[in-house]
Amino acid sequence: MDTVACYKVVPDEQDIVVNFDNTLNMDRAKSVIGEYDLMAIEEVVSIADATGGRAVLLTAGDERVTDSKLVKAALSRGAAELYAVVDPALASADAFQTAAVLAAALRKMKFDVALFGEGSSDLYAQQVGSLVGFLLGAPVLNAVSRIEVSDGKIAIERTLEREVEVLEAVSPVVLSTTADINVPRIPQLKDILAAGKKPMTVWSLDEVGGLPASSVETVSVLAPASIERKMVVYEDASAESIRALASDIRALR
Amino acid sequence: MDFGKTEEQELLLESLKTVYERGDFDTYFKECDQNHEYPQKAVDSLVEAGFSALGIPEEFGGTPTDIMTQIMVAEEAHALGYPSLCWINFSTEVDDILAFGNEAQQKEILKYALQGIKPFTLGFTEPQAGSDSAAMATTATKREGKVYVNGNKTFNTSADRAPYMLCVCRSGINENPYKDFSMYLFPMDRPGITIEKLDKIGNNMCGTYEVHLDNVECDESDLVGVEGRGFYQLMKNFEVERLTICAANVGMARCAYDEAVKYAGQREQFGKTIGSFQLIQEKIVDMKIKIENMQNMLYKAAWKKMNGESISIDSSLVKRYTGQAAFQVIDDAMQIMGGIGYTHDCRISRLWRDQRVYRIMAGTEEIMVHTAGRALIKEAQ
Amino acid sequence: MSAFSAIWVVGEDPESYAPLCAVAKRLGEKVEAVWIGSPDEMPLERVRGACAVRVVPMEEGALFEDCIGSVAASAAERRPDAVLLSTSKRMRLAAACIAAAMGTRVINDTIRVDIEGGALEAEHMAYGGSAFSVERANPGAAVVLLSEGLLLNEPPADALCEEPSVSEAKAGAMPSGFSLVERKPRSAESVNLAAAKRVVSAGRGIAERGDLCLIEQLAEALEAEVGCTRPLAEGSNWLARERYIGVSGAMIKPELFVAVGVSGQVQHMVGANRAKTIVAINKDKSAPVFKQADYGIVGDLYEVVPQLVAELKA
Repeated sequence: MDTVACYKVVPDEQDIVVNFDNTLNMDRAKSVIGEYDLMAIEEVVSIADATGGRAVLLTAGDERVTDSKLVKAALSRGAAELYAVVDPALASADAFQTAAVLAAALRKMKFDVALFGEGSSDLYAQQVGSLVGFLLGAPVLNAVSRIEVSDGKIAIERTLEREVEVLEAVSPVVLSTTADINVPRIPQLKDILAAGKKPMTVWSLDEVGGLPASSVETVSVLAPASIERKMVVYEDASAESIRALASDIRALR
Repeated sequence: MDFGKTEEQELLLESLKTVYERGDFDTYFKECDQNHEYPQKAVDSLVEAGFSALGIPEEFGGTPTDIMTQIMVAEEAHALGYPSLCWINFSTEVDDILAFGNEAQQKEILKYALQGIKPFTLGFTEPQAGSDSAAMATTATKREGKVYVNGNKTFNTSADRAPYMLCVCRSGINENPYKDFSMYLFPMDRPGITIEKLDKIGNNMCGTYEVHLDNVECDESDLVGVEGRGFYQLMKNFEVERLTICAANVGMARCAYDEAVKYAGQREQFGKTIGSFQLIQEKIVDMKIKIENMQNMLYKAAWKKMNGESISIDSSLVKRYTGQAAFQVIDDAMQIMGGIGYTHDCRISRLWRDQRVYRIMAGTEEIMVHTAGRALIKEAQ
Repeated sequence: MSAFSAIWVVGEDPESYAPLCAVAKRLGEKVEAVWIGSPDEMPLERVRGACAVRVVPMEEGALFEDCIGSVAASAAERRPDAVLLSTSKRMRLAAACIAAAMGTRVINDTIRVDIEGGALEAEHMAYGGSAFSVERANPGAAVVLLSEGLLLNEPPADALCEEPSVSEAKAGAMPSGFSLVERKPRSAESVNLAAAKRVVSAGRGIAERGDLCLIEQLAEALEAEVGCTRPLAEGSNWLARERYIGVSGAMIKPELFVAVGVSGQVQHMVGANRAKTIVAINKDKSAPVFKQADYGIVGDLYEVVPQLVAELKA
């Protein structure tokens, strides 16, 4: 089966700095592939390998997504090629706009299974995959914890809060995975070297029908005002310290 | 001049970090060190991630890797906290066998190297022959189409796990000892081989042994390279070995530095962080200068080697310098950590014990003066 | 700018409808409860405050997801000013489908929702807990997943409406495309960290799975739930994923949070830093958790916890 995994290039959260006015500064944050998207990439490669198909990748964003190191990082994980929709406006696109662009791009591609990660590791709204599926009018599911393909049928295990559903569908499907569907591979040097030789196709926004308007506005993104903590620390684990801690805890009730 | 890493090198180092973090190796190595256990689990994860394949030619199933990249990987592994002597790139062993071994020997040795298994322990040092290699007394005697090896070797790293020994022996064909050494490669389970564990102060995860060779029967085909050329064959590859040891030195220094500097910024005494005291800042600055110097020397030597220039002097200089500088950095890191640094809870104590041997092994820092000193005078004439 | 008036609420369980309706009632006058399932399962006292209940009957053997399409289609057609949903895996998918049909996105994991200056304003966490993001949506573009915490703390609505009108919608014009093979109850125990008043959280300081009994004993002494950091749930599988507190796990606001062997990484602490009181037990004096705690003790958890349990029980 031919598969495609979508991923988002996000700022590395470890590099995000909080400014004095509680706004976030991402100037020094390096761009990385969303942590949960790695599972989607791993899964499409293993499905394609198991069924003799081809796995490709799709992303959308500003020029950062075509940074050659990031492209190599993505393609070192087994997929055959990368499609990227690139436009400065995509850097601030919301989930609906991104989904519309990805859906339009997917319409140009032939696929049996399109996969998304559990959520992006910056906004973690967990919706782009589901939005895309609905926009494409394809069977769409989230929380997919296992995918098995045999005889052209796609068997899916979906892990919900209190139950696991085993479902079946025929292609094409659009699925969002759980974070524990697999453990993504660690790229080896030979994969990294090979990634630099794999093809990439870049589409402009016009080629995928432009960017729809956004109807939800983000007013502010602020670091939480921290709650003042007492910071009473007993520096040894003596019986007296433990007794004192126990009485502190009891006093709370 | 380009001081940047290539994208491929950066990605490879990120992969290495992922292996380390996924395995929660910090905790694991602490346990292995305490229990004097070989860190097999960590070795397995690195092998699975392809790190043992680096530097092994493609036809043997490896991934050709330049020396600079191998150096960077070794340095980074140690900077993350990987224990030295358990590192899985056997560039020295691989180089030795590729340079001098026959096809069968190459296949056999590289098979183990690919699996992250140290393919052979080097039978070089003897109780009476340390820096003075000419004093080596182990003999290889030919008799009725066979070769019999007799003698004692010591400080044999991993003699308990390595499937082979590459043994340097006197052949008895030349008065001049340097023209009399030959190398034989034989399996460690041959009759007549016994090993005895040495009780060291550090590098607990990797056993070091004395090896007794009592009439060990070899075939003439077990010879590696040319009879009587063993010493020169070895010397050539000490250059590469030295660079990998230097990479370990730099990595261990960085590991200790990272931990100590972070601590200095957090530990409070007299109402402020100890990092705000200039005596601590001075240590940190000098540690950083040493790390920068070590890296610059090391990378330059690797770069020269890659470009086919001789590094016979450089390898001695960088071995002497990184051994000492890394020791000083780790010692200062321990000082910054205070009492905690002296406990087993803090890995700086392990680095302090483990790194110390690199001022001794693979050529003591004094021998480095001997080798480089003469050459430098000669060069100036 | 038109005001918010028609608010739809959609929940997965009948229990979620009372708080959903209460929130909806704050935002708009005309609350309509959409219930996917059998009409008998939706007792009307659950939908206090709603003027209308629309039941989307689930046919025998059909999936919940087979009914989402028609809800989404009618949302696109009738354009409610806002659609509010409870949060669960199913509802995330439902919300996305409804939002896509309405040409907008979902405002997810909302911890606060109000009407401000004619627009719906909702707040949720972003950037791995480093920030809270405030979103504004105009009428007709607001599809909001309400966090469990928000729903738990919402006071019940007064019954202002008369008996709501009940209607039945057609379900199956847009089936999901999936057929059910099997449904297995999850072996994982049901955990409701969001509802717990006290939580003891285990971190990587726990060396072995068996040692979790220490955490359980402490939790028992405190009448607390057990939570954990991500590696204990996802790396090692020592604990159910539901017990994982942090960025991609539970976001809790208990009265007491006890962090045991937890270093205090933001990815974990963000899930609990709205706790009223935080207690930390860690052997590393420089662990960041102490800077975020009200009370802390520097010591080996294997020594501290048993003694603390004994003290608390004394």
